Amino acid sequence: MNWRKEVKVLIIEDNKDLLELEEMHMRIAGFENIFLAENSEEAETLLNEHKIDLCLSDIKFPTKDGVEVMRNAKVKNQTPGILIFISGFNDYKLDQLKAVGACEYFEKPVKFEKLIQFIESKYQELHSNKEKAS
Amino acid sequence: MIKSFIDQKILSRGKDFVQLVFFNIFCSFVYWGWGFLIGDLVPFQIHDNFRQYIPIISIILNSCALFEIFSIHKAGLYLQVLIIFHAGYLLFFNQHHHVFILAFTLLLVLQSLTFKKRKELFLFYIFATILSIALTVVATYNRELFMYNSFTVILLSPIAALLKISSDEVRLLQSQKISELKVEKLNLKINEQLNILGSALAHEINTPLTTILGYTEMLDLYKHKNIPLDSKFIKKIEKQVIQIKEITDMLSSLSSDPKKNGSGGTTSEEIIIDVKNHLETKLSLNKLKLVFIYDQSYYYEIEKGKMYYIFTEILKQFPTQIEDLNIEIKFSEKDICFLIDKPNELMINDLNTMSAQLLANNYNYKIKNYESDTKLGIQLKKEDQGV
Repeated sequence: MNWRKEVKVLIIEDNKDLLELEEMHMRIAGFENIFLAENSEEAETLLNEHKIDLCLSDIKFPTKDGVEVMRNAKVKNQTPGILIFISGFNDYKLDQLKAVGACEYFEKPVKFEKLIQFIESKYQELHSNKEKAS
Repeated sequence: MIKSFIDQKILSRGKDFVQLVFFNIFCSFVYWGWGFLIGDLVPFQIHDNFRQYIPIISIILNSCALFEIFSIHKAGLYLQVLIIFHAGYLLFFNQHHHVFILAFTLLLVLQSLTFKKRKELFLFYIFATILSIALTVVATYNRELFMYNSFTVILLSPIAALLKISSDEVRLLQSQKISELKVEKLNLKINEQLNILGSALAHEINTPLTTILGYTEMLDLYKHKNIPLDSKFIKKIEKQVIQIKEITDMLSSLSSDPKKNGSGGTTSEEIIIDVKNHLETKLSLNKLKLVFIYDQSYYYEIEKGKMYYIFTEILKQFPTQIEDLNIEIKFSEKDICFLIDKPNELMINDLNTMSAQLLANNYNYKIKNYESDTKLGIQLKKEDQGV
């Protein structure tokens, strides 16, 4: 659980109420370093400034969509360690999302308990892979 | 046999094609008539007194052909004017002038050029032009042979008419295909717009749903993990519900029938019409007699969706092969009674099943079996009224 205090989290969501809610759930789950972005431009700025470990991103934005943001981040080697897309409607196939570095796609409405469980299992998987590699 | 041929080959192809055929037959008659008369080829003896009127008749007949030519192309129009003028010249001067032959030939060439996009007609007119020139040149040296020029017209006119029919039919089919393609393109565009609308709506509804779910999870966490309960959680949930309602209101406003955009309450007349239509459509019953007894002055606070469900569930239980199903639906201030006139034992058993089913669905109406001497039914009482 200590790892949750250390990782940097980026939440990208244009709906303010949902953004606030996601932050609340992440804090209750033990995450402390949380950055918030309400649009794709803010997200790109935060990705440039910080090494993000975990990102929860919506897909549909008024300007650039979330997939495009992550595609650009991948080019700059800024892809978060764990990237999860959360969206109400998805024009992309899972393969296309994985191609920009996504671990999973959650369709709204999302149960946050399941989301946190997935993040935990994904972290453990990546952590054990790193230990095996070293 | 002739009738079936006409039905199959002509009438079944639609109004436009029928018009096309009759118009061409008429034009052929016009050309034939002119040719026969001028060439003196009618199968009967033309009286000398009548003979002088032949050019006038040919002028009239060729004037009729203007109807067709005028609608198609100008070269043909000029040709027809020339033919009329030619006939008039014959009437007054009784001579065959070389200038007319040249002009006639040139216009035939021009006419064939206007058909250059319609291959068969183009080739035909070229052939007709060459033949006509040859015969006319011959006829200038031997006037007796002039009648063969008319004979050519007689032979060539129906062939031209048939070719034009087939060519026009192709054009008709092509224009139909263009219309179909336009419709298809329009449908694709509509589908594209619907897809965009669908995706936008899904996104707009799923986002507040996520917020609602998230805050209900918060309420759960409050119970189990001592997370401080913030009253704003409830307000946030309410706000999301209102947001969803705005979207559904927008969707409802797309409906063409404003009467469908009802609120919780509705008039009894609307209920009756709606319920009857709903039941007859949904259950596809053959003979359903619904009798509604109600007090018109009373405004019933009834949710339409529940009404549909209750009545649909009730009627679904009845086998549809029952004939003469007479049902009385009685509205009063306190309850709604759904009564079956002279029910049989099968229906009595079904009603008990129905009551249990409706209760299980937790509708805020209490169900009681209603019995009288001749009627059996279900009485739906509002919960606050008591059973």
